[in-house]
Amino acid sequence: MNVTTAKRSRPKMGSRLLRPTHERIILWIISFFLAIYALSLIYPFFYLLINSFKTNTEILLHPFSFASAPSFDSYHYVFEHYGIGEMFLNSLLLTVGETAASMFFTVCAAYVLAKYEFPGNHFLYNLVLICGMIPTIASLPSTYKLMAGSHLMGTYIGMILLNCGAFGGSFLYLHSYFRGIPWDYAESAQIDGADDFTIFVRIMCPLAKNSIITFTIIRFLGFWNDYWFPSLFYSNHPVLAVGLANLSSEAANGFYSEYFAAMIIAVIPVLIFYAIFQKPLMTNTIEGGLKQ
Amino acid sequence: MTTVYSANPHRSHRISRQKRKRALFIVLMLAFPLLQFAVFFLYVNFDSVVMTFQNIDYDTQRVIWTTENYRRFFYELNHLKQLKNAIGNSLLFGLNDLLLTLISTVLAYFFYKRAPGVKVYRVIYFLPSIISIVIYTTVYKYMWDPDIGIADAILKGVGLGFLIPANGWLGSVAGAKFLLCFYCIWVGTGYNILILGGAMSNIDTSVMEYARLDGVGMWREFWQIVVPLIWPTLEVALLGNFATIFTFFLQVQLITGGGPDQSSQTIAYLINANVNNSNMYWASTIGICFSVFAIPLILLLRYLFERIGKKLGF
Repeated sequence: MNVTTAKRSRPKMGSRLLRPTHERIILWIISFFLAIYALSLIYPFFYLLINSFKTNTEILLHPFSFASAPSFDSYHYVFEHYGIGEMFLNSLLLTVGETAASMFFTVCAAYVLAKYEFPGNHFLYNLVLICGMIPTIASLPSTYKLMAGSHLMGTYIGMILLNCGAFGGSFLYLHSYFRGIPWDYAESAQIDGADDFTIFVRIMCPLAKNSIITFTIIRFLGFWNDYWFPSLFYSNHPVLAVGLANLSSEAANGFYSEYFAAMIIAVIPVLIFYAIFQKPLMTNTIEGGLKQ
Repeated sequence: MTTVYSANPHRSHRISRQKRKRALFIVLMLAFPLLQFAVFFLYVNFDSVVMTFQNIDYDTQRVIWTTENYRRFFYELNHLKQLKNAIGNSLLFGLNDLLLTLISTVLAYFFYKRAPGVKVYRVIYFLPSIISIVIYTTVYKYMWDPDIGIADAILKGVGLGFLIPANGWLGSVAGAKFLLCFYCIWVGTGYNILILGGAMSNIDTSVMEYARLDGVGMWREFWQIVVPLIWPTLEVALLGNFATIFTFFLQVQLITGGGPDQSSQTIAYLINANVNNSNMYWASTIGICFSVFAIPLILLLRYLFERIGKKLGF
């Protein structure tokens, strides 16, 4: 894993030099089962793909074979009847707004609490730490009441307000990151007459750029995939996750091929996103967690 | 802790002006985040407790103060199946997630030992963490579909067809619960392997090498070296995963719909369903009552894990 230096100087852990033959055989056998498991996670998408090119009768007769006469009819149907373009647009607008707002406020709050001493600073920090442990589901009813009572239900601004909380998991990470940046960097700028705002924007944020970008990627994905809140508070503008869930009745009515095609269309952008950002997504999950 | 900047200019009036500017900066940066936190976290959680003592009066459509919600809760707990069932299921899925953590630890160990191909597997196992739950639960459902699913076809193919419930997986109580438990483990390992594997990669390699020279096999290496050394991370993972008892419902809603015959509902499912039906005061009561019961359970578990940790020397 991350023992690049050890690699050169001595045999790394689990290397063949130190590994008896019977263990190597065991690991190959294990690997075989790991491969089957991996296959089980991918196969369902392959299944959707091959079936999306078939007619619905053919799916019921031969669900596991390739299409005898592949056609794109289902894909045409999805774009014409399911409003998938509109769902994409809803998802994109909402996700961009939520990500931008929540990241902006997280960075602001984390920076100020990390870098400035003022009365109540430690109290706020501890409050945030403790509150992070309270499960959110019990407060769902009162959140719903609040949203409905304040006419924020079903509005774009309501969703942003609900989801732009600054004190999620990445707050703690960014807080400690800003703490680790020495103030010396700002000092020379201060002598030149830069104010606090300039120091924040021109010096501190660029230094924390990598962390901020990574958390932005992780949050973007989290908001893009979110189903629970949009289904409750934004169902009048179905985002992709909500729209797809609503479409399940289509499959129940026998429109398998069309439903599968919609799934494939929805999953492709995420796979591209994963292909591009796989490294930062996985390494930072270890440190900051996937959940907001 | 880094030193926090303190102003040291030469003239006093400049200090006070700078101080005022700094105070303004702090206020501007924190005002909105704190306001949002106060409304959408503090107020909302406070109101959840208040709401358990309220209800809507049907005649006047006004909010009234009452203890009826609590009386209803204990009546239903004693006389009706639904609540008891939901509490049982929430705990079942919590225990299932403890099992998931253990399975993930074993898998992470094989990743750590560099079983052939793990680089590729790691990327694939993480897929369910980045693809929407709506999509993954759907493909999962079609795997187990009685007409066009691959799972039944394989089971019949290898002579295990007798395992398939007569009413289909979603049509039988045990089948539906099995499908949910299996789903959590199926999609959950990738994330956990990443976290636990991260801890394993921090183990001092010389420890492992000495053990190896003493002829310690994989079984003992896993239980007597790896697990004790990653215990702090493992403890957090176990507790974090068990906390699913509070939140587990989306999988239920999307895979079984709570069925068959309400048998796979969880507490979080009931809360969400009641919110959807505008029974907000009742939903709140379920949430608070369950928390009162479940939070001590989590604390107890944490106490037990910490005891184990102390024995291991942390």
